[in-house]
Amino acid sequence: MLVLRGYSRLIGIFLLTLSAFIIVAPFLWVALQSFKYEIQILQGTWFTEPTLHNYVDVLWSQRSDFLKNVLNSMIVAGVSTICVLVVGTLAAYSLARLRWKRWIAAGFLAWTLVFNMIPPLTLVGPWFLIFREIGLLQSLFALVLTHITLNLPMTVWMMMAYFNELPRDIEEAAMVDGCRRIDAFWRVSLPLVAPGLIAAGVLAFVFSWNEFAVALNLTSRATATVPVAIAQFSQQYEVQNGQMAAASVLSTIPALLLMFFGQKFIIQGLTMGAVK
Amino acid sequence: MTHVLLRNVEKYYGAVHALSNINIEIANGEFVVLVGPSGCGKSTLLRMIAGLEDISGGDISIAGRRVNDLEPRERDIAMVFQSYALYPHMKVARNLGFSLELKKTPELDAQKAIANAAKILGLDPYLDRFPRALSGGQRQRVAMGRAIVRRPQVFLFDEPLSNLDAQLRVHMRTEVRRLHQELAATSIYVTHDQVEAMTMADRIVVLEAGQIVQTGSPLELYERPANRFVAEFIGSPSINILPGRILDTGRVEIAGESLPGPGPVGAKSGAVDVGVRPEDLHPADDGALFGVVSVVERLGAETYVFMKCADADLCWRVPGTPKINIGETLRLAVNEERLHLFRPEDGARLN
Ligand SMILES: Nc1ncnc2c1ncn2[C@@H]1O[C@H](COP(=O)(O)OP(=O)(O)O)[C@@H](O)[C@H]1O
Ligand SMILES: [Mg+2]
Repeated sequence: MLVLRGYSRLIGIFLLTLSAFIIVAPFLWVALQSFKYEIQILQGTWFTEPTLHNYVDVLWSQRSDFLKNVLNSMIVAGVSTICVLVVGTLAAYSLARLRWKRWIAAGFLAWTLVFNMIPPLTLVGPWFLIFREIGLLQSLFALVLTHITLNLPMTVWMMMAYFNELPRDIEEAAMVDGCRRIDAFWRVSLPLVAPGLIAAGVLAFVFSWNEFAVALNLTSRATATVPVAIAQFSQQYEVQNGQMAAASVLSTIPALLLMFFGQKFIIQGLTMGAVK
Repeated sequence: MTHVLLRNVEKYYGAVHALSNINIEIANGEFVVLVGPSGCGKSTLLRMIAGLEDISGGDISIAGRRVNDLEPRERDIAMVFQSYALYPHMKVARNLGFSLELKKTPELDAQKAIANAAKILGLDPYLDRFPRALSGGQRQRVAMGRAIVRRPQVFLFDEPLSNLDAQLRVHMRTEVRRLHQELAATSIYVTHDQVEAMTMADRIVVLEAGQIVQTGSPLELYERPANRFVAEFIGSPSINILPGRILDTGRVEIAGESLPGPGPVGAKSGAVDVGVRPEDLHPADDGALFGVVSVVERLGAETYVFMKCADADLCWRVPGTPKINIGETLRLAVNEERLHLFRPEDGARLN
């Protein structure tokens, strides 16, 4: 562990405070706006008596679909995360354990990377056309499929790091003890990579929850997810700043909760294999 | 009765010929040790018996059943791994009983078997702990216990003691032997440590570069090594190899001095490597070996005297602690009936 003393300690604290401020400040500012009336926001008043008006409006008013949007997001993020975990874990196990020819494994992994390297927006156009052709446009199902595609590479890579860390001996001992390979996977390997599952699951869920570009283009009013809904508070003739701020604050709650409970596993997962 | 039979077993890793023409017969209840330097194929052979590696050629049968195409779980074997390979997410009791759990053994019988194994190995106080809360020695016992609980046809051990400290290793050596006496189960034990092999084995199989070079009881190997490799590998301190000649008369000559006794018969004349165990030397005024003492190691019960002689390093093992000083000149004679003669080109035994 790095221990700083004297001047370097002061500088370190200053830099940390600065970066924390840069990250947190915009969010705090938005949170501040969410407790003001529209007129106060436009006037730029700094401190006012807080009101929950925006929240009530976002959650319960006739013209807001926010609860429906939350449900959509939950469905898309939840289902895509589960699928990504199932497929990603099995793929990672296969790549890490079964004796694939080198070029097959390398080719597969390189191909998954492509999806992380090109901006998702380049894929949106083709996807739009594909889903229109097969009649899935504006369905949650289509959005789930795209999120699976976008999240799978990271999950495969991360789970592979976990499986590679797991000594083969343990699985072999299980197989000598009476397991078929599938039993060894299910009863021994999988429980041991549970931290990886949690980390990969949280990251996939949060990504899907926040994903905007694809959702904006592939959903309708009925299937809009939370980020899309937030954007729609700003329309051509009217920008509902207060409601937008309130919705933004509300939308961060699930991600914050997940990150809070999963952070230990995520840090471990992202640095897996980096230090031995 | 033959219990484990390996016939013409071969192993290829791609183009690498890891094992060639392995033939071993192991009797019921026998404790066989596979020994050899690192990389000679011991683990590979053991894993082939366990079913963890494919067999490239030949047959392996256990209890009269050909097992080539059986999965590890169908072979009725138990294996103790060098890394112990305990299940980190299960407590000791469940680690011990996992195989019974898989076999759907009735709860009561399983508990009895676990309790029994725990008692034999002194694991009672630790049954409720996770492996990470155990010391190396305790983990090693759990790994052994996991094998015992099974009551398998064959026990396989892959260097199970090599991660223990020296003292514990010596202790566990006797412990494993005691267990074997109690259970009388056929065991195949892999090690690179010749002392372990000598002290534990009923029979030793020496492997070198994927081939069996000699099979026999520890004493047979010590007293009649089949070649120079086995002679040098078995025994500590290592055997002395001295360059010599076989004369036309059939006598052996070392360092230019013909040995007085009748020469070993049956070997052609010419250059020869003469193997002399460190204890087969004794001081004699007319001895053939003559040199200056360079190092003296006193172990209490015995003393190793090292000297340079006939261009070779010579080690002499003397009981007790005789007064011998560095720099002193010694003249030693060899026990001629205990000489080992090896052909210099390939190390094959000549006498
Ligand atoms: N999976 C593998 N692929 C290629 N070669 C291997 C593999 N496993 C072992 N070998 C080779 O086979 C030989 C025997 O290995 P091993 O049985 O582990 O030796 P030992 O246990 O006697 O130290 C070694 O030369 C090793 O390089
Ligand atoms: Mg080995």
